[in-house]
Amino acid sequence: MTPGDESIRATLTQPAERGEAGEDGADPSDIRQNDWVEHWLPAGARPYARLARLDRPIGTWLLLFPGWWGIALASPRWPNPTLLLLFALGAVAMRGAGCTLNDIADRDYDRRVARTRLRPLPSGAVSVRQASIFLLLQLAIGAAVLFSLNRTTILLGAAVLALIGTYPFMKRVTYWPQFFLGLNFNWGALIGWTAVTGALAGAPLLLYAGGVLWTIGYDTVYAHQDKEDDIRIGVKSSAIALGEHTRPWLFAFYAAAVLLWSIAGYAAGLGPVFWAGLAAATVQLAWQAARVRIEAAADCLRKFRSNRAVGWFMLFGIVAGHLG
Amino acid sequence: MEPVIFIRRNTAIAAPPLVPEISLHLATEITPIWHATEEILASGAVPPPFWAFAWAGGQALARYILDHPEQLAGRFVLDFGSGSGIVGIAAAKAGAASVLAADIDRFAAAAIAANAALNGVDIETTTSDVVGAADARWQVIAAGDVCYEQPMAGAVTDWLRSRARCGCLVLLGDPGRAYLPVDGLCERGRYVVPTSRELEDRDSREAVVWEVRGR
Repeated sequence: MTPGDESIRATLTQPAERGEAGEDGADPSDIRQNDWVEHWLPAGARPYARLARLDRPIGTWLLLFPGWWGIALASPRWPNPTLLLLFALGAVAMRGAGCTLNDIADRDYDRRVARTRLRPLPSGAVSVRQASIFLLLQLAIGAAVLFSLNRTTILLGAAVLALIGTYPFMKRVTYWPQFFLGLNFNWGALIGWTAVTGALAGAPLLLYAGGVLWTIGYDTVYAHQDKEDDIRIGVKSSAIALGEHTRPWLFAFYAAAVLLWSIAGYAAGLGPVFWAGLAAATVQLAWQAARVRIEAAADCLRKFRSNRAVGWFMLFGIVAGHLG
Repeated sequence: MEPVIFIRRNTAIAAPPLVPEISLHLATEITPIWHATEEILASGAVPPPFWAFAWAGGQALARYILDHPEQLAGRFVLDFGSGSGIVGIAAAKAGAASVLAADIDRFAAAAIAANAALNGVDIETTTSDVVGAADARWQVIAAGDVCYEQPMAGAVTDWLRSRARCGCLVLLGDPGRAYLPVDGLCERGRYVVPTSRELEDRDSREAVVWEVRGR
């Protein structure tokens, strides 16, 4: 047994009440104390805010950006701000729904992992029934947004539901749940485009495919945080599959993403400013792949979160690439 | 370049004068579409942008359909030579069970999808040549302004007649184009369509909606 195993077993076997921030500040839980959720929300709403991960918006950003890119890619002039807002609302609702479903599916695993033990379901703050009702509410908001869009987009949006339902269970059967997450998370690239144009085309499919590779990359980095716990409880991930060989694969995933995005930009007739935005995104991705320390969980989380910058660079590049 | 990007870049959203309830991506005096298309035309990549104009025959037919929804409601409609999709959109708004818009120009297909989305209706598109096809599902065929050139008009007319003989309701909107057949037509409606001098050499055209008879 390695020292690493020992420390994990120690955290795993600590009672929940003692699993909070220690004197040294090494808090193994991903539920933060004294954040805005505790300060601003009534006590009854807090566990639901945590179920929807309102306290951790990076997932919403990563879900939202492909949708915004798709809208912008289809809009030779300024993208429609109402449509951008609708997609933002939809992303909050559907990301919240995804996390809630994940927490329902994972509640028994989460109880045994230090990082996730204080989440609302394993800690008993909400019941499975309450979480399920909340899940339906979020899905209803997502559906309301979807049904305000055109028919093609509604059909495409309904099609992804089947995919969303499978994701949380994929880590039991494959080492590449990141691929399925990518298929889900980048769907916005397709429906953002069709919400504007009424029909799919090559450019959004390329944008989508690039997004899937981007997600495989950043979520592999994210999964390195949980690698040891995942191995212990028998859950699979690309981080486990790639292990020490992660870095060259990260470069490969990100390079393929950039290649596909550049073809998408070319197909959409984007001007020179797009290439500046894409170049900035490329530098950011290369920095992540070169610098990430996969053995350091905090650094993995930092690099994972830094992908929001990629989202902004790309959005800027697409919007400005149409204008100039 | 993606056709829909070309369309959105070179058009503005406007309502045709006779059918103000339908919005379309249309070429306007301020959009450089003729120039832009000539460049691409020279390279042989695309046909002329017929989809960027609401032609008089199509406007008249769309007006007729919106004013007589009982003719199409609940039926399967083929919008032939769809262009901007104005006729198919009118059919969908009139309550057609299903609308297929046929135009061999892939830019038109993208324009039809974009225009359908703009009007919140669902239309299928095809770029295959349906002239000669005998699809029994089509209960109504609506064709706006398709008799402007030979030999297309001749082939189209023969085909429309054969569909009419099979019990299909065939409606043709036409502002007096040169190759309109002279017989076998029954007038259903008559409209004065405001037009532009650039497009039609006059400020308005009288367009007739005909029912094509199988004889």
